[in-house]
Amino acid sequence: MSGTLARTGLIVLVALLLAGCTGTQSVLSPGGVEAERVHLLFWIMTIGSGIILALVVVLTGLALFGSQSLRSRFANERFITGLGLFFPVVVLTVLLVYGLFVMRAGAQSQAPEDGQLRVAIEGELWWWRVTYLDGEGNRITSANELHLPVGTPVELALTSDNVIHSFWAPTLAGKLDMIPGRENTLTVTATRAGVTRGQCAEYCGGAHALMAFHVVAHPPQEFEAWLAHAASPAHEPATAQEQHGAELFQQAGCGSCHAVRGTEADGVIGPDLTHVGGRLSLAAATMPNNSQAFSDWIVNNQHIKPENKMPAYEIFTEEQLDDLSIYLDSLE
Amino acid sequence: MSTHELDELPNKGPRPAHELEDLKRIWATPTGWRLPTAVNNTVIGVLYIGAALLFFLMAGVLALLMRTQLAVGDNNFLSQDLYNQIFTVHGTTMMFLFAVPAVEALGVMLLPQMLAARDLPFPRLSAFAIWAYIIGGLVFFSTVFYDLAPKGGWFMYPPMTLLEYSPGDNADFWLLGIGFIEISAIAGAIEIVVGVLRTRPPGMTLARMPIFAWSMLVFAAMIIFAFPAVILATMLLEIERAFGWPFFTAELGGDSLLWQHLFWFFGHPEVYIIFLPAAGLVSMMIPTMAQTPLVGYRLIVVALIATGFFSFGLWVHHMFTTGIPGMSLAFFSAASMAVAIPSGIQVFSWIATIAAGRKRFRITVPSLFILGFLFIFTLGGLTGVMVAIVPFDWQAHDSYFIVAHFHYVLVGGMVFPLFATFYYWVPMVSKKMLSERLGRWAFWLMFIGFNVAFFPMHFTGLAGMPRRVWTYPGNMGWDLLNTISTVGAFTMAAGVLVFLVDLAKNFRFGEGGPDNPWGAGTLEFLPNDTYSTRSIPHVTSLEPQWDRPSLAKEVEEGLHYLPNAPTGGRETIVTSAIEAKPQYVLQMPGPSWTHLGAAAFTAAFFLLLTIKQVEIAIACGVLAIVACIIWTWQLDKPEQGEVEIGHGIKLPTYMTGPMSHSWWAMVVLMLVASSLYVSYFFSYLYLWTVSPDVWAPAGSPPPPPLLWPIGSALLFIGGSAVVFIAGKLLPKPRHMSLRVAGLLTLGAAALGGAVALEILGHMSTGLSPTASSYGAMVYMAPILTGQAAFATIIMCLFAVGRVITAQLDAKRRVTFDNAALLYYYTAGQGLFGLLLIHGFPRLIGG
Amino acid sequence: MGEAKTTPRPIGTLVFLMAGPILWAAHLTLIYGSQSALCGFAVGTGPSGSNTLASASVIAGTVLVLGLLLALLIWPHPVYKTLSGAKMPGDQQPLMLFVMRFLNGLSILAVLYAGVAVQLLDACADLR
Repeated sequence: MSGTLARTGLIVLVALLLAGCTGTQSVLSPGGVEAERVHLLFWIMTIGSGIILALVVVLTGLALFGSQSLRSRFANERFITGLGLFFPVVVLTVLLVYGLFVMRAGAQSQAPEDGQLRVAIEGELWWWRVTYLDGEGNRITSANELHLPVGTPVELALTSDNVIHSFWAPTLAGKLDMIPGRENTLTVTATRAGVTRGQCAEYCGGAHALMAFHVVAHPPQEFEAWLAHAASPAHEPATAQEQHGAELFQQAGCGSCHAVRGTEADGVIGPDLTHVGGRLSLAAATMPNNSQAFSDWIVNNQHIKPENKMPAYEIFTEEQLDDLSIYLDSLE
Repeated sequence: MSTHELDELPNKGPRPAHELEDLKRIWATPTGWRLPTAVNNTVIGVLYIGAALLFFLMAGVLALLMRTQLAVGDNNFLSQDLYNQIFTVHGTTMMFLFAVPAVEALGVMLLPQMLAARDLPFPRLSAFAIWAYIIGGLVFFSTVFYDLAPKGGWFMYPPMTLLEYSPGDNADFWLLGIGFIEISAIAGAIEIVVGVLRTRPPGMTLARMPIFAWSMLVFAAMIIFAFPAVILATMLLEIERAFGWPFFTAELGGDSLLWQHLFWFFGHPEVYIIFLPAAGLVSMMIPTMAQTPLVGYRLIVVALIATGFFSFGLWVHHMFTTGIPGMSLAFFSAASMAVAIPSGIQVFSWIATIAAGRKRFRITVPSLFILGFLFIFTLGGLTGVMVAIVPFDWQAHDSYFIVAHFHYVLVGGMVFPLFATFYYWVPMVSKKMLSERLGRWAFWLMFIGFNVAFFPMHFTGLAGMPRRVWTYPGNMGWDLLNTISTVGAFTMAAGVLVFLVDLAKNFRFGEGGPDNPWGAGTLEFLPNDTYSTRSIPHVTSLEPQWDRPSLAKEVEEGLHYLPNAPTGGRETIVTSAIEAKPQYVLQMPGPSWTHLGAAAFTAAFFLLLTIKQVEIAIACGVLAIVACIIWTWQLDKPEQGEVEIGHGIKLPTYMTGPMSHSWWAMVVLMLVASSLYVSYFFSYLYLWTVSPDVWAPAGSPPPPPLLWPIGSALLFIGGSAVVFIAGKLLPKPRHMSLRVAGLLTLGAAALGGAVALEILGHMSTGLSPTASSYGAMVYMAPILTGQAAFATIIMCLFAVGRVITAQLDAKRRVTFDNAALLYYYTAGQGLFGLLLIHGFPRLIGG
Repeated sequence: MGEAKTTPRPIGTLVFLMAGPILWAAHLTLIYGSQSALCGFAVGTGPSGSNTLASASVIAGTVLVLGLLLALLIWPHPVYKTLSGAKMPGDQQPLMLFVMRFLNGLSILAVLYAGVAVQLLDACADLR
């Protein structure tokens, strides 16, 4: 039996290393100030727990198989109060105070000054509406992606007007719920550039499993450039196909739910598509982003992401679908 | 009447032969088609455990379906909608239909035997609770076959579960079905409290009570305070779904966090409600296997009580990510640390006891399950401390780390001890023991399978996988971990299957198993039959069978208390709560169809309401009440004079007032009702702090003129006075009294009038329950009081019937006393409600 | 009824046994209720989420309950008499005093754990 156990243990350990190091959504590869604090806390507690578990196992083993004289030393209330009361009290007291210090450290990264970037993130069914509020009072709406400058605290205002969601980008920080009627603010500071992933952590019905997003942490100057581009109107159709696609987009009424800044489309029910072609994914990090994915989504979205609020559009011919997808893909 | 240390035995032998025949006849289990009418705890206890086990298996199959779906990323074995239903039903069934009923079933099954009582004090009540649970539970579970199952998770958070986001009847099955099963759990808890405190054998003081009885006492007390919170929550949510009263809708002044507070005020203690009895069982089995008394008995008693309390201070633990102020979180983090200490005490007490035996600890199948429990539970406890540290929980919360953690706590803390229990106590109800060989296979498959399934989930969660997802992308690095978990789940299921094979091969229901196969020291291993022990032993220590090896023989020869049936019916000895001095002989009811009918119609009432068949539902509700009336009409048997139980002790056969067991049950029932009302009081104040803007007088019509509440209050007080006077005027024995009947009818009318007046008063101001959370809360107060008043009115009219038929008089007055107690309680609650509803807006309005 | 005088009331006895945790529950209700209500209405909340009033209420509640717990530890017999209406039965005394004192000690620890937050955290800050 112990052979099986040891082998299983080994497999698990290897799997852990694989998952932990390569994970783009992993608590164990932090890239944010809060996540780093918790990462340290996690390892301290895990090592401590491992030692205590080993102690219990060894003591149980000795109680079972130890010599008569050793066993008789366990069989009294002093043994119980020593190991079951005083030892835990010491450990727990230290841990509680450490935990409070980690919490207190969260206070210092709060409250960026006026004129700094804020991001409002709203939980929708089942995607994320992301609005950047820059220092000049501009509102730049996007979806399913959070772009951040490395090293600057950014305040995220988390809300929902439907059900409860929870914003969780494990590499940046712990999760915080989005609750109707409340606004929760989370201040995050990315510590390294790169793309990571996050996901809704509070079960929100239906397609909860398919409500994810990407976090893109840019070096500060690159971020400024990205934000300026995000604020610009949509790319004008350049080819005949794109032109045709744009017309189809308007004719089919896509604009009553989706906005494309610079065109007549100004719907607010679905995600803003002004720069949809430039995003890393479609359908809240459910699919990769390319023109094929657009046509799959338009026709087949209820299969790809069941119960999502967009109806399947099966009215287009093959050619129309291609043009529409190419247009959407061009909106970088 | 002092507690004799046992110089001489209570009764002299040899006993006349007819005594044993009488006992056998009186306590005979009904046979054939009458079997369902049985109330004997060993019969319905087995039924109860069997039903719980069935739900465990069915919910386990759902778990396997989920593990199959999650074995690899981007899998399409189950659809999104079906998966969401399955995980909801899995969690709900495991918590409400397996775990709580299973431990309650063990209480019903084992407690009378451990306490050498003939049965629990209210046999029909426990049978009623069990049948209600079985019928309700089966209907609830079957919804998963018809695509009707709830899909809001076992925690059912609004707004997701409001009508707007959860149309259809699915969520209502959860709210009404589970709400109803909670009521059955409360009925069982009342039974257990009174059973443990009042039906112990003479001499079994609190200090000599088996640990399992202590743990069941704490368990029952926790149910009494925890379950009402979730019952209120389900009521509020169902009322919002059905009638649109906005308790949880933010735009109208409600708050979805109110649900979370109420749900977790129940939900966290729930974990300990499940764990403590299992820990109690472990504390019973370890001394037997070590053949030595428990080391640190008194420490374990302390640990059980402390856990029971501290577990009520943890509920916000589940709300660390809701954004409430850090210091609030710190309070609950602190309580989570505090609750870890009693568990540490228990773990080291068990290790000390394992070490204490003169011979080595015997490694049997129960021992293996206990050792497995010790390992798994310790690991789960350690991760529990980790998630109690707030910043770590921000990451771990709602991830697979939590799935791993609570399965370690619940499966380790409850399922493993339960399987140990099956192997250890099976001879009490089976003619054959279970197999040690198959048992070892079952254990190793379950133990290895469990760890392989759940240990990797810690890492799956840390790698970012959230809970309650029906699928995940294949490129996240989660596939291998999930595949391992799935393999483990099936391994564990194989272990359960081996256990079932063992059951099929070796379990044969009936008496005649070995009497004390493990050499235990406690009373449940005395020779047993349907009437429990032949005579009720005089207890002088914690392990009476060890300290008095002749005890089994003496008891079997009828040399201890009550070796016969002096009243000619079912009966047991009632003793005092602390010192266990004999007080009276309790006459008990026997088999009946009435409680069975009541259970079936109550279940039908709730389930028909769920599918909006209101008319038929009401008809079933009326039939349920009729069945209850017929059932209770047969109770309150007249006095049979004094009877001698041994040692020359003569006991009365009828008792009224604070010494009576039914008085105790009423007090416990009032505790349940008041904790429901306290939950309401909290909810009222809570919604006010969230939305003061909708509160009267500024945001809503001000409360009606003071004349209305004063009128209502006068009716409450006047009615109580009328009932009090009726109590003074009860007729002489075996006489009827129209005067008392009239007074009780008047009292019932006053109570109804008081509640109606309160509702009419608010209607006169134009306050609408659907316009704001304030209005909804205002009308909720008289609804809750009306609920209690409805029960009180029925009890008053029942008493009227008894007094007219000359079955209620100055001596035989328990029926009246119970009605009066509930009357005073209801009036008190009503008056408090008036003060809150009419006083508070005036207070804040200046 | 001559015997009733010397027989302790069972409910009083149970309350005595559990007096420590009952006081702990009162403490949690007191400090959590006052702190979250003051923060909810932003009564006295400063810029960074500090709230002297809320912090003071937590300290006051903690000191008060600790005082009561210590008093119980020092004078168990008068408290028992008040609650149960009788003297403690001799044969029950060792277990009863042990259970009460031990629970009391655990409650003191739990109250201190809850109270220590006020030393380290601002009362109303959400710390995220």
